[in-house]
Amino acid sequence: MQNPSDTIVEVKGLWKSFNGVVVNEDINIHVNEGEITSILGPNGAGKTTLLRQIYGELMPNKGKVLIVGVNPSKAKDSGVMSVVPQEATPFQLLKVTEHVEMLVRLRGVPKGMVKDCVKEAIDLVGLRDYRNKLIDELSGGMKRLVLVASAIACGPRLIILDEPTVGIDAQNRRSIWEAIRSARDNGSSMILTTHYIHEAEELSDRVYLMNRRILMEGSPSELRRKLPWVEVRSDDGDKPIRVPWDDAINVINDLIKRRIRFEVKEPSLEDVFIEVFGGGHEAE
Amino acid sequence: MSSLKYSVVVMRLSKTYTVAKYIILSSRNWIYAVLAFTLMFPILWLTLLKIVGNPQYMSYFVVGTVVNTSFLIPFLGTSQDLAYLRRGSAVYTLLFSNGAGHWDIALGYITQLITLNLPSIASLLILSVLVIGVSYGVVQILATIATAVFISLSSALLGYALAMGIKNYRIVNQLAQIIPWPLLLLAPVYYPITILPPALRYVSLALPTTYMALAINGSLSLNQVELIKGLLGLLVYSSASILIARYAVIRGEVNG
Repeated sequence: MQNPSDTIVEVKGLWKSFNGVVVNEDINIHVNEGEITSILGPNGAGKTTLLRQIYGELMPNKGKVLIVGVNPSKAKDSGVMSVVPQEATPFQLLKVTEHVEMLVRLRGVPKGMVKDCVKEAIDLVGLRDYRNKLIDELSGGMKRLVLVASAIACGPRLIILDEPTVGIDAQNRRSIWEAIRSARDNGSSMILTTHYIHEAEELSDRVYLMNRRILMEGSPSELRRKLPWVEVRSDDGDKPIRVPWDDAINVINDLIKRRIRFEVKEPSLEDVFIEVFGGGHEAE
Repeated sequence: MSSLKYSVVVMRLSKTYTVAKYIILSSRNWIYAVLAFTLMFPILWLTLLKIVGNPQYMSYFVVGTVVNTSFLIPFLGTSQDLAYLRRGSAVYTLLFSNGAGHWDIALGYITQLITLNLPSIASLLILSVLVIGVSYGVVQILATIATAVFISLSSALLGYALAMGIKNYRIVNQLAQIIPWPLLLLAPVYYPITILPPALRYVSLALPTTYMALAINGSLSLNQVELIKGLLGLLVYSSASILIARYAVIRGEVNG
């Protein structure tokens, strides 16, 4: 049971359709202060449409979005949130520092505070040596880092990241994870969408699985526990088997008696994803 | 209540200033084109006019060139760039979602365009005096620059309405190149309206460029009636552009 005063984002009974096609159906979600909340779902599940309503680019057909108790437009004006939209590219002809400064200034951060926290954010994502470079001269992964630095700089209360790590290498992805964790540790709340299920599992305090409507919610461990099995993998040549928790001990005892080496794997968030959405998904 | 309104206005102006400042910074890479447009174009164009132009129409050519410069670049730039930023690159969404309103972005971008375009208009007027010998005083030049700023703003608003009104930015790109032709060739921009056949005179009354030419001519000749007629015509077009853009923004919030 969440304490309403801790709630940063509250989406209540939200519906959105385009040309008669329902994209978001009766969505209810909340994001608590200092939490990272992931929204997972296959392509076309309505995640980006939901986020666009949260940051005020789209109007819901029904229902409402409250960010720190006010509508998205007011929240945006008061500089509460920062956003990295899906497929966003930074202003290529600005320098890294200028870009981060620009978005921080748009959020209304007082001029005197800007310089230090911009520098801190750039250092945090590992772009210290590039801060006076034109963004146009950076690699694709570094451009994503510029966007993430712009979003986390000066600690906005809410950070929305729509697929921030898509198409970038493992090293830069790790840098983004570190930046996300650091922003959370500094008190920012976050909404994250990603197709990398492992990423959501690593970072999230709460996960929503959606396909047009919310199908499941909870912490990653709560969601994993919703699958009532463990996977036993032995080296006797058989395929891994999934056995109910209660039967696992018998299977393991049998393997021990037969002196067969084995390992037991709990369900992962990806297993939950596959269970909910079927096998033809795009989890990586 | 009034202090609340005041703080909202200050906030909006601050966001517009921020957008304008950083778009101007990002256009420093276009410095050569700006210099060429500010100096090379007027010198070559006015020299050419002096050599081959009909002296009877020389002042109309100057009016036409000022109208062309203050209309074309703001219209083309705003429509094509904002349509691309909104639909092609998601930079518009980046600015919007991080605190800028639609009008902050539009006015910030337009401020940048006018800032870069203004020197070429000033240079064109001063060089007209020096190269082709038309007799414009300081007051006429200053009044014309002020009018050109208003024309640029009005043209940019037309461009913004086009950028926001059509979803497909490739279509906006094409329309932005097609629309200026009839606007500049059918309106009495480079020549007096009396040259046009009577039927076309009525057509020209429906074109915004006719009022731009009236306003510039009124400024250069210090003819207040002409100037006011021109500015009123532009006010009507600007208001229509604002209404169209506003409708497109609301429609976009509903339909994506």
